[in-house]
Amino acid sequence: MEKTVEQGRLLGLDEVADGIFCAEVLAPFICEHALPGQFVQVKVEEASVQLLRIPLCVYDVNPEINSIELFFEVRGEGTEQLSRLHMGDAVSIVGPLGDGWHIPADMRSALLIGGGLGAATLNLLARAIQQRGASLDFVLGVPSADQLAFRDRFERSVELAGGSLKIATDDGSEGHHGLCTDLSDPLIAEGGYDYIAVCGPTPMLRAAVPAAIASDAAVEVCLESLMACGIGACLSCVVKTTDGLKRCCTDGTVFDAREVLW
Amino acid sequence: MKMNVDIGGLQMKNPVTCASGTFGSGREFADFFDITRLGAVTTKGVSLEPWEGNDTPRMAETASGMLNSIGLQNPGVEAFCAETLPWIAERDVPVIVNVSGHSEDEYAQVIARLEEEAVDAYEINISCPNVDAGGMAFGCDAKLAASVVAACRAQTGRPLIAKLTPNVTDICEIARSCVDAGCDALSLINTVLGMAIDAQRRRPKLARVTGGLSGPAIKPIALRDVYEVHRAVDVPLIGMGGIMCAEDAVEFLLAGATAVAVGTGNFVDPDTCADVVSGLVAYGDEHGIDDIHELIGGLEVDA
Repeated sequence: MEKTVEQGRLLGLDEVADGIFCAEVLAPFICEHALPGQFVQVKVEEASVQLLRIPLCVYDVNPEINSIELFFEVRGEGTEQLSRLHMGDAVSIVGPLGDGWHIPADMRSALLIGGGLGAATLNLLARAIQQRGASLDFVLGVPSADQLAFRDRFERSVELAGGSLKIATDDGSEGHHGLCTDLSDPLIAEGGYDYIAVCGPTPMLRAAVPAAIASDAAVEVCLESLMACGIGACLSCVVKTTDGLKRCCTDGTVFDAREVLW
Repeated sequence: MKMNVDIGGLQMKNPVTCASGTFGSGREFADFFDITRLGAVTTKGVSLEPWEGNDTPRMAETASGMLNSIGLQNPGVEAFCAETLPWIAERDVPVIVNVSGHSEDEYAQVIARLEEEAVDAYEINISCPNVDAGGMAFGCDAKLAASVVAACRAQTGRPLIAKLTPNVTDICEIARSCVDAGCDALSLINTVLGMAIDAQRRRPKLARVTGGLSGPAIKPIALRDVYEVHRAVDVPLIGMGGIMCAEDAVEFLLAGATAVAVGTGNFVDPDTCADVVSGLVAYGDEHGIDDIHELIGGLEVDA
């Protein structure tokens, strides 16, 4: 799979919720080559003590202007520095990385389950599924309504695919007051999905996967792991599967949910 | 600038290699640069049986560096020969295979097996704990270090490089001991023992609690160790520890290294090894240097 070190440029930076940002970066190579579910390693140039790159999923691509969009939450020094970049600043990016989602060839009906920022990784997948003419339902769970910045993009894909977007919030500020599994479990039980893709914090994956793999659908999860190199060289990011240890950054980040040892 | 160097019989067309464990099998970097541009490729450590490595988290970021406790995960020498070695062996670049073991016998068996393959040199990772000596690392005791080097020496006539750990009282003592036992060169330094703590969760950041520190934070330690070992022994040295650019590499050459290795730098910029090669060429042009040997050990110290 082709990847490169691309010297991008910051086109825009929006704080879409408290401490949560969406960065648009001019990056022609990654824009052209990124597959749904892949990620990039972003360098923080100005940081004096932050050394390693930051892995961020590719949230969206805009081929007309050769840009990519990255979602991130400020959690430490690196993301703090990223959030203070200015328009026009250089942003060095390694990518696209990871295997991305694997849509089954004959898939006709999909369910996407996204938790928190993990839902961003499902955006390009939703669009790809809709473009294939398959039907698409989306369950989105967030802590509260002010973190629904990416809802519009999902709504568009889901609407075009003739499906439904259901929302759950931990604090009840919008949609169902509770967990996304309160919504996804019954949908799966109704039957009919042949592909289910889940992305979110690990406790959410653990909660959502059992019902999914009990069905007949192909089920994939996107896993997160601490990473150093992000390109498969250092073995920091391994995950346990039924086929032994796998590198999250290269053999994943997307895995067959039935092969992950939870 | 002429850049060829000789590491105890291993001919490198330039003094740049990668540090074991930071470059995979070389294949992972093929998209970024032509890896045959390197003076040599150093593989991940290979043990006799497959080693699964440690539980995650296996890494923690630290100021200007990182801690790792990978635990030498590798598929064992048979799988290495079948699955990993062919790709790099068929490329036009010398291959240094790093060897790990939990007993002298394991090191010897790995080398004996690799003698049947197209391997140009061996780097012995003596920082492994010796199960026959209560888990003390070979490299922390001059006698144990010499013994494992001798056990390896008996298996091969190929260039043998002992990789030294800095976590000792007197690295020169270990260096001399390895050289007396017959190794052709030394590489240094391996990682520095360290630890990181999550103050909010009140837990260590590594599953294994402690790990090895690498990156720019350890460069001063590495430079000092290269400088001292260079004065203590006569064999060529491969210097490493926090090299991020060509100028860092020059510092190691001046301190007495004949070659250098880039480790953590590969994670920050996958092109770092290639940039160091180009940067050395540029440095030679800029300073009118004909041969890289003018730099090796060329540090000027007032008496």
